[in-house]
Amino acid sequence: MEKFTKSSILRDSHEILKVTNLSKSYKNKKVLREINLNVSYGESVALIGSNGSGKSTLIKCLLGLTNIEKGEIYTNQIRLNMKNNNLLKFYRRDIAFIWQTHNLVPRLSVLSNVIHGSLNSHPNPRLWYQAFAPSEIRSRALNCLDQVGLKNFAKNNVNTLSGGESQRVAIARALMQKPKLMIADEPVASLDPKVGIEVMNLLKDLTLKQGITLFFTTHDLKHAEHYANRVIGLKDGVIKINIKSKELNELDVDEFYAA
Amino acid sequence: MKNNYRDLPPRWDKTNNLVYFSYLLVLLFFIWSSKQVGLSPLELLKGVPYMIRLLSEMLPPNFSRIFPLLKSILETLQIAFVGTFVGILGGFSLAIFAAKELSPIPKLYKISRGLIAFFRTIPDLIWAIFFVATIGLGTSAGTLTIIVDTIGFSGRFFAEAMEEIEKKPQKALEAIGISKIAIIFCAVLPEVLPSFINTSLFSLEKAVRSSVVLGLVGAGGIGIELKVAMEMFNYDQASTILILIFILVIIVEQLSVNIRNKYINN
Ligand SMILES: Nc1ncnc2c1ncn2[C@@H]1O[C@H](COP(=O)(O)OP(=O)(O)O)[C@@H](O)[C@H]1O
Ligand SMILES: [Mg+2]
Repeated sequence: MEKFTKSSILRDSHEILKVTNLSKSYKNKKVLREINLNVSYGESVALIGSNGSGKSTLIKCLLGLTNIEKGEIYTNQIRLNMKNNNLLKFYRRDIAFIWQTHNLVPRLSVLSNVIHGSLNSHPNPRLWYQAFAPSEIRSRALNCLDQVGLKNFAKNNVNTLSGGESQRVAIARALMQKPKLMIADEPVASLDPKVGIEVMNLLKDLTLKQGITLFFTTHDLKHAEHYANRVIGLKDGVIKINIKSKELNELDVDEFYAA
Repeated sequence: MKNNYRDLPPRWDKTNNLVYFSYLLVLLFFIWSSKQVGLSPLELLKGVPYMIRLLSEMLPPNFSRIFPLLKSILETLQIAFVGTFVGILGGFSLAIFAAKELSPIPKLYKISRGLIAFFRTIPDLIWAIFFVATIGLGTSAGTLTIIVDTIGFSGRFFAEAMEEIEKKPQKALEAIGISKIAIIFCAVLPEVLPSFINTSLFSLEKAVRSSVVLGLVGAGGIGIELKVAMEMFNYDQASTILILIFILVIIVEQLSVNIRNKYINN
């Protein structure tokens, strides 16, 4: 890969995610103010906050999907650098991202969609469609589908899936990346509560089993308590809560959500 | 009940006089233009006996030269088919560069847009005359004409189709570090495929009709036969040619309807 300058690599860190003094504005509106944040390898962290508190914006910054105004971000010890396209691709390679909606490619088969997850580490045109993909990749994709309980759906067109099934396919695509960090922005907000719990359980179990660090946003406090071992609360672009989820107490939370 | 006419909204929105004036101008221009172009029911009526005579001379059609004619209508179809196929490939490649936000080389966005517009705005007959003059009479000139015309026609629709689709699936792949070219083929292409098939079929239908006409200027195919037959007053042969053209166009259109139904409407 590219030659990194010394400053773009953080050696021997036990932090998979390290954000320092991150600020971000849209037009004249300050959305994130001097955010400092560390996540260690293997943690599961929930980011909570009311609507408009800046959760999605923070996530977009982490993925290099929006320009940051100030501050530094390291994930997997690589510094985010949006100026160089190849460095950006390399930075994103080990980060999986689950959106609020599944964002699968319509009309394609489930298997093709899952295989796409490996395209960032194998830029091989054969991986564009499942029909051309090498057997080894197809079999790994089927394995990922099996892990989300959809082994029998491989041939189906994604347009025919329910919301919960689609989100599970998105998770299978994420696993295909062999990620070190899984970021999810309200991954179950568009699903009904029962299916939402199933999908959260799946995310938690799979990441735990495979040693993937999970960083997710939610507006459901129960999910934060249940699926994360640390909770970070964002309010008006500032981190107001940063504690183990076991230590979460109601008074603090009420105060946090109060206007 | 008391009448409430006063409360009714106006029948017409208030428009300013400039608008009325421009309506009037358009009407005047139409009246003047119809005079200029000689559009008059009388002229049309005067022509009717000649039309009847021509038609009667066309019937019955003369099938004596059917084999050479079949050969040249096949040639017309081949010009249209090869021209459309190559034109669609060209149109697609240009469209990738001409689709906003997708263009792998943003600097080429304007250039490819311009090129497509240039190909489109010049009518096919003029391209045909140009190619006949530069590379000579025959089917290559016709095929090149169809290629250029198809690039102009399909390129525009391809680019628009690529711009209009849902962007989120592309964003999702971009966010995990997948290259632009791969995204075009695995996220954009599947989404625009129905619209591509549709545009390609329209291109083929259009190409068949224009490759008939291109023969008139010597760019290959059945057109030249029609021209010769008409100029030699062989109206009964001309009618055979017209029947062949009619059959060709109907077949291609029907085929295109079937393909459309099969791939797009379900
Ligand atoms: N693309 C954008 N342009 C302008 N303002 C934005 C944009 N995205 C988000 N915002 C604003 O930034 C603030 C934080 O939004 P967001 O990060 O989406 O919050 P959350 O995900 O916590 O609900 C909101 O006030 C929102 O209106
Ligand atoms: Mg949000």
